[in-house]
Amino acid sequence: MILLLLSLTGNDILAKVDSIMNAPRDRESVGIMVLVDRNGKKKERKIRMWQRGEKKLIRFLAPDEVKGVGFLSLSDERMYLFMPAFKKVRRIASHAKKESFMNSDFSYEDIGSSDYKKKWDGKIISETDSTWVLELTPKPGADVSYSKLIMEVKKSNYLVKRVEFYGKKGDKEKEMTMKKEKKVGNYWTFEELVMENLKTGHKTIMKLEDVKFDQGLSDNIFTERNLKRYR
Amino acid sequence: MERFAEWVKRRGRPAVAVVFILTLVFGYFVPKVGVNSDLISFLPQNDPVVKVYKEIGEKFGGNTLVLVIIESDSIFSHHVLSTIKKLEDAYKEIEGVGFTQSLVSMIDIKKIEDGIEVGNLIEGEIPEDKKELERLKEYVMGREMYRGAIVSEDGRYTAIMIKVLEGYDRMKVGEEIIKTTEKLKGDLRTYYGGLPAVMHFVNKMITGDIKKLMPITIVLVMIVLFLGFHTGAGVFLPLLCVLIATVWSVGLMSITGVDLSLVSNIMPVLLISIGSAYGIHVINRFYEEKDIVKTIKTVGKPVIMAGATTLAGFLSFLTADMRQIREFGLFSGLGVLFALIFSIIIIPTLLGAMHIRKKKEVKHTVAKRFMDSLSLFVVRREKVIIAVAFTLAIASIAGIPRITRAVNLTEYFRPESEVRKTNEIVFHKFGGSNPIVVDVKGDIRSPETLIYMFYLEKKLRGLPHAVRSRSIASMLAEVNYNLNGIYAVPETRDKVDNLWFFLEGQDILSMMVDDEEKEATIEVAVGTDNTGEIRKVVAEAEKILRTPPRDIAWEMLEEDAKRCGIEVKKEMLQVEPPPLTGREVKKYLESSEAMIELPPYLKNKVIKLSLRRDFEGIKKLLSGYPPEDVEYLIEDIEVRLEDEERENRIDAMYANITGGRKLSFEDEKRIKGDLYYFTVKLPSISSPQVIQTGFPRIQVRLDRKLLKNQIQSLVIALFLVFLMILWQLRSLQGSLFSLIPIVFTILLNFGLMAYLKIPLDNATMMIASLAIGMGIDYTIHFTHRFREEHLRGKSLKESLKRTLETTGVAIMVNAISVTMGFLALLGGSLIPLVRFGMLVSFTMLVSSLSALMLLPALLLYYKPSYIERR
Repeated sequence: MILLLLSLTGNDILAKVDSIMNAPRDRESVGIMVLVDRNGKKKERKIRMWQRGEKKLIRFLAPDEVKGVGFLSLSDERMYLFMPAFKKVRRIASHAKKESFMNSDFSYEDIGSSDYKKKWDGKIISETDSTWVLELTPKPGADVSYSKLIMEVKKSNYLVKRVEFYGKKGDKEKEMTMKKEKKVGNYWTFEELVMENLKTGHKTIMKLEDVKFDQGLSDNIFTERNLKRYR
Repeated sequence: MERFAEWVKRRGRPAVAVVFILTLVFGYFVPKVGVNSDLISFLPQNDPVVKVYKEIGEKFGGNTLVLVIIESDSIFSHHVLSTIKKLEDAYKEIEGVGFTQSLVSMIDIKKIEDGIEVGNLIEGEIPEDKKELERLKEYVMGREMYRGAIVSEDGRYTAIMIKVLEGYDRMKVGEEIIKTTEKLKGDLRTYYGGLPAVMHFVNKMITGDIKKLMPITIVLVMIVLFLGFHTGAGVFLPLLCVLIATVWSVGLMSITGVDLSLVSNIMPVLLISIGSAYGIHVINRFYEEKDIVKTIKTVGKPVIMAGATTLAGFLSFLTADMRQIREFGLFSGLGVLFALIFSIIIIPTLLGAMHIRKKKEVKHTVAKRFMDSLSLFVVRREKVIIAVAFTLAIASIAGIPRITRAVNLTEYFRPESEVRKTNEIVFHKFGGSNPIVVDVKGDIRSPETLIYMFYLEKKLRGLPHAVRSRSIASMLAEVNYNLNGIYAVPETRDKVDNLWFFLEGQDILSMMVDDEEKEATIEVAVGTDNTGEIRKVVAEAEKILRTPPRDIAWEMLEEDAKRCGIEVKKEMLQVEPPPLTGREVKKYLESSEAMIELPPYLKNKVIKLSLRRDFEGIKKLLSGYPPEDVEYLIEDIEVRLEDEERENRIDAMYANITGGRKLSFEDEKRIKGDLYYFTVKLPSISSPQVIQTGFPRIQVRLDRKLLKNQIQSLVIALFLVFLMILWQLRSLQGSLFSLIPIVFTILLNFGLMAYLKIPLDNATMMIASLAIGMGIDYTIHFTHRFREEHLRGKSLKESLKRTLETTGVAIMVNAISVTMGFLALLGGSLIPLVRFGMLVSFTMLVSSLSALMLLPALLLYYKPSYIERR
């Protein structure tokens, strides 16, 4: 075992991180997002999320202004929005991927499924008894908006403990920290993440509750029809 | 005065040494003096209107935008677009830069059949294909959102918008943006707009002017001094005094943390020109008396009087509303005081020390001969002089109502200056950068408030010169149009919430609504910078805000129809729409959002039942499906039926209104949006609290203040000077006589302004008071000498001759040196200061000539008794 650990390269670790993250076939959870601005003012949102592979269905639960709004994403370019007050589903053909996710400090890129291995080259720069620290540089031709990531990975479960995002100029722009983690069934998952935007002073806290894995979510979940069942 | 003279004789040298040491101390602080180019800080900061303006500017980030404008005959070319991309990428790397927006990065939202398409105006790589570029051009120029906003109407200019983040030094970021642009722009022409960039240029101007104008002034004054005295001491001693005085007052500014501003940057020029006068009179007398004590005894009193009155002129600005003018008044006044004190201490002391007691008899041949003929002329033509002066005064008074006022800060800059050029472009190509802003306070998310804002925006858009407008209300209407095909703010809160969700997180939102959604702005760009026109627009906007809407839906329709040249009548809205066909229900049942996928025969049955509104029948028919889904289905069908009916009604009303005429895409969209409000129940609209702000309002406010300040400081200066003369002469008659030349000068100044169309502005407003303070000096010197000679037993005519030969020469040298000094301002970068220099020069000539001609003419004619009294 020890020998095995010693022989791991940065890229091996990235592959492992991806595989751990992408291991569950599907996932359902309640997410609570707290948006904190530079003056410490907070805004809270609550969503229920279903996810299977690329497919994602998000339903807003709170606050009242957004309650019932639904969001279905079948692929990067096929998304649907449900507006309960109009009782209408509208297709959103979006090409703007780097936009922030629901006004948070996460971009769609940040919260997408884990594919570090595909886009980055990892190099171990230091390690302790419990973690590895990797430096990630973009693979040639990879479509990423950061010049470098510094990532801390837990040795025990391959969860990402901390990521620093560096801009094109080499300055640290964002920092993501995992505050809490837990094991649900066979899988380890984060329970609380904080993403801090160092440029704007904004912060987003993301908490996961009621996480369920591998329920065998069917295709019927990811339909416009289901999007409308908001009550 | 005698005791003071003795003191100078005994203690002059140590006093001078102390002054020199202190000068070194102040001199140390001079380079540290701050420069404040912030145009907004120019405004009276405690004024409520200004306060609101500043608050709104900070809250909605209006003061933090930088505009980089690119000029090219082919904006839509690979070369230009790639440069824009390169620039924008580079801006993003600058610390403190928030969001940026340009033709290349602009997010474009398009309405498509079953939804919307969100993308960038330019996807991926910048196209090289000519045809593709041509298509892009056509698309951008065809949309009201882009044309005139990001690309100018003529397609020759495009703007890159850059927002400076909170907490960063705006000016530094602005400078960095300019530097980056200059490095990367290649052969493209660029202009910079927005406060952070403009401040950079103004700053350069302030310091640049001082560096450029001060040496010119010094040289000009030196020339005059040399011509007047023909001696080295005569040239250098007065100059030394004013230079020391300037160092002291600028040093004091630095120590007390007061910045040099757009006004006070003329202080050095001003002090050198004005301050040298005291030295001139002291030296002139010293050459006559050749004794320190005698010189101070005789000339001390009039010189101090002259200084005190000038000081009064400056101090009258302490009542001004504009901080910069108050500061200018204070520190220039101090400078004058210093120059005065140094002139009577340093000059005699140094002259005494330099042993230039015996100076070759001054051969003021030219000057003397001129003065002799002048006195002869006055003696012979006293009545003519009085008559001419009287006529000029009357003509000037007649012109006063014609004086215009200019408060537009951009008029401060020369037409060829960077700031002015950018402003012209922003103005003519992008509809102005200083919009009228209406601040709305209330529950912004409520349809009541939003529909009222939508109404206000439409009304304001109808103002003369209004070119563009924006608000959260019209943005929501645009989203509603893209998602639901209706250009209107929805009538229920739920619907507003759904649309708002779509805008959330967009940077543009924070420029229109505050975080708490309790305050929002409506901006209307005004395409004129004429103060008179702006006054009208502001007043009309105010009227719109103060008039509560009678029938909000009708008024919106009326306004939009008027814009298309259509007069709407109420009966046009009386329509009998065609019966429903169920087309929207059909479309729904066939779409993938239908709650139940029905076989064709059931679809037709459902359509038939829904047209009869037999929803129980539908329930029965679909009893085999999950009841919950049937509920959803029926709700959806109800909405589709309403949609069809509404669409039919709107189409019918629209046909009545246009009478078959084809309107433009945007006009049709707007009018159909207005008609929507005749198909739904509107919430009761309560007008929230609205305040007009924005720069136009400020301009009107400044305009009024300007006049008030002018009159106020004029009266104060005149009164103070009157008191001083009264104290000196102890004769009411004498004081009134002494005021005549200066009142005449001021009248002529206003006359000149009226006939040469020089407007009253922040700088020219100061002239009248300064002219009183400075111009009265000539009268004081003249009167002093004239009485002295007369009391010695000379006749009036002889006294006049003697006065003009002696003090008269000093007065002339003084006036010409001040005039020359101020003429240096003509080379300045700021227009009001150029005008200021011109008018001060003019008033100095007029006041000196009236002291030398008009006053003696009056004295000879009326022979007032105060001349005789001791």
